[in-house]
Amino acid sequence: MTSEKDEGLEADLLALGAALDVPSPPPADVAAAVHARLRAGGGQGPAAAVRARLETAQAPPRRTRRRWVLVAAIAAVLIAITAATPQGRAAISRVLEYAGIELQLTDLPTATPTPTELPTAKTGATFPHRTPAVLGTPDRTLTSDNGRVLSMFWGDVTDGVRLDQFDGGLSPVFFKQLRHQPQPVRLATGEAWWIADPHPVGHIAREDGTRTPLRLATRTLIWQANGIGHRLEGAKNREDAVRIAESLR
Amino acid sequence: MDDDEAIARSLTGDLSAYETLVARYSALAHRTAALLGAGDEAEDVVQEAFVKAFRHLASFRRDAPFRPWLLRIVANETHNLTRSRGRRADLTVRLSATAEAAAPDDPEGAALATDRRTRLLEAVRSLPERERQAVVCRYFLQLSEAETAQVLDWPLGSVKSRTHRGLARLREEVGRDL
Repeated sequence: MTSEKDEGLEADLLALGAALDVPSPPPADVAAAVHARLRAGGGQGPAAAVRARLETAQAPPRRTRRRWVLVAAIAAVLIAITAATPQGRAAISRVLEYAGIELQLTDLPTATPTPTELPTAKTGATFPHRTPAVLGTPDRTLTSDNGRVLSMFWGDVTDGVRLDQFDGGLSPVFFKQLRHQPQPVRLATGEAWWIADPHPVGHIAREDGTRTPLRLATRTLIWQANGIGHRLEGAKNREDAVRIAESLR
Repeated sequence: MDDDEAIARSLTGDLSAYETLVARYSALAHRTAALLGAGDEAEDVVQEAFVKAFRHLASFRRDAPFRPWLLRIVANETHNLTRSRGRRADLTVRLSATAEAAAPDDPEGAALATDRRTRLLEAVRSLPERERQAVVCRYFLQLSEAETAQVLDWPLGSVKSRTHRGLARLREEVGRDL
């Protein structure tokens, strides 16, 4: 390739970009429209937006809902109700999005997926990640999904501890099918959710939204810190999970 | 009020502060959505993106620039839209009329320039989707490689290679006529 030609083409592209007619409404109108939508959805802040969205969801028993709503509001966690997937609309009563994980609350028994692993790569993670001090150096580390997911393993593959860290602040990376609401947990660093029962977990590819059922996950703690989603699987119990989560350095 | 202050105030629920941010980035957000293929639904995409950005504001890393973070949400919403439409995200923009009037004393030269641009735009339109996205971000939106990687949620290496392949294809398409 000749760099001179490249520069000419690049200059042409820049000029073309500048000559493109992309109409947009007056910024003040857009700002007002967004303001109105946020106000209609409970515009007191991100926490209130979460609360408002939760209240429009199908209501679980009242006490549970109040607790759920209160904790969500205090923590200002990022939960949004999204439409259920078309194929699962009938079975799934609610879909919550939290820390890059889509939680599908379902009343029906869920099928156990065949264990699958994501294709892994040698490329490093594309985001800053940490290691839990109480577990020390992982026995095995894998990255997948173009460096978007980093998985660390300690101990036995099937019975050990696994920590996934993923850049999933905006669109979910994993989905989980749950029969019971996850329990809110306080970490020193913020809010987390504890899923006590085994549940199917799957992966959502960023590029085309492909959903791959992975395996049946055991008890898991999920939380978000600094925009990074975390799921810790296989801790002995809730207290153990909290201890590991709080030791991230 | 700079971005950081507007974000800090938005996080406390100050919607007027958030309006400032929306107004500031509105034109760029529309341009991004339209050029990435939202077509005549760009306005809906942008509104949805701003609403979503507000709800996710707590996850924004305050030491990072706001612009690529926001544009990533816009790109994501555009991606969701085109995916739900189940077809390719076409680049449906037009050359603005003012480009033709840029050189009134040289109508032939201006017509030639317009013709070249039309052919180049056509060539960009027919690029494979990912190469087109890379070219659109790098040249039409003038984002850096790192910003493009963040906005499209690709590894940096993919931005480089897809841009490179896109340029090679464009050179092949239009170069032989020049």
